[in-house]
Amino acid sequence: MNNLIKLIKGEIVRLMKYKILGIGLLVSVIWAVIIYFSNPAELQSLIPLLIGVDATMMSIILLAAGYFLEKQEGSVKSLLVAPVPAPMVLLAKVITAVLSGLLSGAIVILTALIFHNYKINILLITIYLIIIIVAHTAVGYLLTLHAKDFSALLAYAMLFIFLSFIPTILFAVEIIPAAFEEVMLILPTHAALMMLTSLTASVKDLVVILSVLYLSILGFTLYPTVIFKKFKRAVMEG
Amino acid sequence: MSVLFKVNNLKFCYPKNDADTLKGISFDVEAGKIFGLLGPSGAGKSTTQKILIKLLTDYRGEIIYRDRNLRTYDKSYYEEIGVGFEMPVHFNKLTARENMKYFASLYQKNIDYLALMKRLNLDDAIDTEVGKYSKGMKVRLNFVRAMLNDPCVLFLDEPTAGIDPANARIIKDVILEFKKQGRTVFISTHLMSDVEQLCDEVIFMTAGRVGEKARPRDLKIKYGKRRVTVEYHKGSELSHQEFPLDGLGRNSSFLDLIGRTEIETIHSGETSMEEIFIQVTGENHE
Repeated sequence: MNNLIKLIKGEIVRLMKYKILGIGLLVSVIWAVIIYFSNPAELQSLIPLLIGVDATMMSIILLAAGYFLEKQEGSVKSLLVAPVPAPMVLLAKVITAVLSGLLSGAIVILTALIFHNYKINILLITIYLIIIIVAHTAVGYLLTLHAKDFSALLAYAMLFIFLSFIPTILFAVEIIPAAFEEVMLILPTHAALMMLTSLTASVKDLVVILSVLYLSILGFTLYPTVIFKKFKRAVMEG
Repeated sequence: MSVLFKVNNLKFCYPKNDADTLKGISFDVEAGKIFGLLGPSGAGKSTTQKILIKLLTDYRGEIIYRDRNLRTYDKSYYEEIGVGFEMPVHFNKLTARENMKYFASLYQKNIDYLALMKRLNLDDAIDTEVGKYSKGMKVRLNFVRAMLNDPCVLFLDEPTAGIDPANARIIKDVILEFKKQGRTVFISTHLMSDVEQLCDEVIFMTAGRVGEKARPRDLKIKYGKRRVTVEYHKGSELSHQEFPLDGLGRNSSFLDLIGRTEIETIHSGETSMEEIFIQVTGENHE
């Protein structure tokens, strides 16, 4: 536990030094500005969308950037020969990504609260954000560990964004019929947006429950079954 | 001396490969010795080292460390060993001090790493970002990283590659002092001068197998020519003559030559580790 805290602290320090946290926060500030200039009526759909983009896309991109920087340095290899279990090294990275995502979410929510007196269930959004970020960092790791270099990763990330968001947009404008609502949840990003939207607007209970279950299973099973092995191998080969 | 590592019929195949990279190697490493792992690129040295430091675990065969199967050791194993990688392994945006402080915090026991950095002439750059370090400085910092937890066993991969002779000498002195304390060092290197100066015992690996295992001195005798070459002045010219080493003291021609001429040099036919490397592995390591 003591070492986990040290690893997390180390991750946070590096996120700051490498300006990854700064970039993440800058994006959140941009969202905050958008919220500041928005009508209260627009917030209902805007807040889940902005927090969702942060928790999904930004999680993947920031994680990938950090991973490739460390791979280039070989620094993870040095951690693997320290007396800390390798899954703990990965866990520290995921917890840091969650903390970073929660901080970004907090900036957006606080802006809405301060300037628009917009209220949201803090406990529920925190739980949802943890589930969403863990699941999306898992997807991020799958893409990252599969990519040979940063350019390949960007291509995978773009493809993932395209495949995730286009159907969601098509569904929102009713080109994809409502009958496909549950099927759409196969897309992690869509499931995440449904969870977040349920906090500000009406979403079917079944959709929310399926989304929570799906992303929980995705995040909490991908790490021990696939990602950890791939992570260690990639570090060694790097 | 007791056996620290006992490696029996070690085999390893990388997941994407069809053939084994290690094809059943066996050797012992005695405690308190400096053990050299030599061979051309692709011979399996790094794989062997990665297995011994428990970074690769899907191996076949058996490794006994301190009378216990290596597989039974958990992460506490890393409290006992220090690993120095060939390539830089530090956070570039952190200073050397920040890097060392961070890694040191993960161990129960630490050395005075600032003192070692000073000894390795890194004291002026302690608060410099590692990304701004030269290659040689990064190699020296890797060595400090390996020593950080005051280990009993050191695993070093090319510990002096790319650094100037003066700093290389300091690193070699530290390694020899480490050995004098009864600790064990495992070195993988292409620098035969390091082998000659440091190693008590070496194994040569070729294509995943152990080619030779011996003391460097024994190898030199085995592969050396048992001949002596005398260079002497013959008038204004420099001439030379070879004699068999066996029975040299009773060789009248030799005795006559050194008695009546002005000798310039006398060389035994001792071969270098580089020549032995080429002979054993069949390759020029450069």
